[in-house]
Amino acid sequence: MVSRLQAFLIRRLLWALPVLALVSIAIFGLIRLVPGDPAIVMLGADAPPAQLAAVRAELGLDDPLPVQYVDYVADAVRGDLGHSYVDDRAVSGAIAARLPTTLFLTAAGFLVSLSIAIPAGLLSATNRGEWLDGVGLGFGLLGVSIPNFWLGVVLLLLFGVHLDWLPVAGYVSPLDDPVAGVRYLLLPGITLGTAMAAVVTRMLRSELLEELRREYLDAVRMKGVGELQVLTHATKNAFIPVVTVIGMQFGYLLGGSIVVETVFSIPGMGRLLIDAIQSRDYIMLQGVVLVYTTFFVAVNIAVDGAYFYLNPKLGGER
Amino acid sequence: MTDATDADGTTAEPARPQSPLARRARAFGRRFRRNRLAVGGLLVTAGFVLLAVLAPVLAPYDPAVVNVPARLQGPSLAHPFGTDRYGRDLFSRVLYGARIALQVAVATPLVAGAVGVPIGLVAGYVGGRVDDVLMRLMDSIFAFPAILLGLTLVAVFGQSLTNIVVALGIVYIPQFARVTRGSAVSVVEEEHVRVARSLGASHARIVLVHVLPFCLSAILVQATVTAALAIVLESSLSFLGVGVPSPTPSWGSILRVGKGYVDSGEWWYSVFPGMAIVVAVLGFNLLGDGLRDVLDPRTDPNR
Repeated sequence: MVSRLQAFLIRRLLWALPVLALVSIAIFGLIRLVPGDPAIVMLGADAPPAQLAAVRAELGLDDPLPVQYVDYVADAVRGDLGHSYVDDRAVSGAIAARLPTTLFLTAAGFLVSLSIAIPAGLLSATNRGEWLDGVGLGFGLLGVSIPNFWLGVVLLLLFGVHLDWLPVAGYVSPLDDPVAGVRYLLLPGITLGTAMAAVVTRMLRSELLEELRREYLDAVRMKGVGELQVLTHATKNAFIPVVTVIGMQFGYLLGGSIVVETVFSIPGMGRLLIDAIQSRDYIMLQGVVLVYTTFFVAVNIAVDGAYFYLNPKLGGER
Repeated sequence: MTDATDADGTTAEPARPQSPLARRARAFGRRFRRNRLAVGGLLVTAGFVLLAVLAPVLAPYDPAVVNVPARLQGPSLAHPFGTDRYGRDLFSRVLYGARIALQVAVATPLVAGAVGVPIGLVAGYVGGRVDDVLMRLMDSIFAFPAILLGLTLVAVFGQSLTNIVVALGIVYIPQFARVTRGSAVSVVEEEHVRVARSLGASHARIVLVHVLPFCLSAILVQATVTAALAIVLESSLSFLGVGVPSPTPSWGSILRVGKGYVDSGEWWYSVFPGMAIVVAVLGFNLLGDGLRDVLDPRTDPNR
């Protein structure tokens, strides 16, 4: 017997397959639309035509597009995403080397954002209309209006250059050296997490206000429990929709890390992506986008699962 | 229908039957003026538009004129925002940058709406399987973070202002579709739509005349929010070097170069263009929040 949650997750996983297929076809097709011949990217425009033709044949570029696509997918599921047009390194190896960095950065942003948003949302909702609420509301509005790259640059100016407290660029893995790792991740984490903190603060505040107005809380109060417990009760329910937003934002954190890596010169997947775009290394671009996509889809499934798990009202069907 | 002619000038009669749309429009004006967020946002946005339009008149220097001896000067009376690495006046460049931001803020919602609104209308009006498939498709696009989709599309289309606006437009199609569908679904159930249907109006007429106008308020809010998002996304792409090509002073591209001067202490190079982005985006966000409160009668003014 599978539980309802398991059945739900299996259904969602089955849904993910066509989405991934669709996305990979879209990326594959789009990239083939790009003017520019990979053989020329590899050998230079003045290479002899015979040599160019040989490279094209070797890369399978003369095959019909559907054949090329099937070949690509067949290799991809075996972990081979092809070799860079620019320096011939394995795409999957390059991604594997960069992925942990990006995930650490994303996790840092996630931690920063929740440790701001949860207290800010709670304080804002429970002090409705007071100055604390004003601070929370102002943060909610300003946080979504400040572009992350500019916040990063300002933090760099202030804490990196002016006060000279934290490193201005680079990355040390927290696994190699926890203290240095945290010092390097602090500013990038704040830069990445602030916008999400603002979104979650706003959401948590309005959900909690809605929840605090409900009648069932009076029943809870009548049982003679303290206000703090009432709040705990309301918070638990208010969190259900917030989880969806948090999950969606996790995908956006992964997207935001592309920008933040550039601001702080962090050698993650985002840098790999930008470098691939700038050097027209489309096979690398394709691989990186595909890996990002897989992560987004996985996160979305996890979020749906969490939502399903948290919300007792949802039966098996949605 | 021959009633409800508003132009007959009978002001003494207070409660003449108006068309539901005119009634909503009037209530909207009243609520808007009372909403501080909306008025504040409108003022900031209007200021931004004015500065962008009048940039050629207001800018003290030609934004492209190089003056190498005056390079990297801090803010002064002659150069309120300082000068850049070629001695160009940053104040003038930021003013001209507002023109790019304005184009992006206007064109992106238009592109996204031109595709997203019809999709939303069809999904909401037809319902059933069509609705399911269209919305699943929109969700799949929406699952992508805007920045990744924008980067990939610009990498493929090539860098030009037009291509960037098209790419940004595609990024925000799902949000327009979703919002339009949301209102269409509830409007379709309303009395006046059922009346029109029973009178034998065609589907196209029902959708365009009886459904679309009632979705406009939600679409307007979405357009305002999208304008803010589009300014941020365009400047992010330009900051990454994948945005508007370099001689054009986009705020993001100025910041991209300015970031290189952070270590050496030329703070004005990155601080002022960034402040311009924040003010413009804040204006649209305030306006969007305000409009949402004003247009949704359920929301509480203190919220």
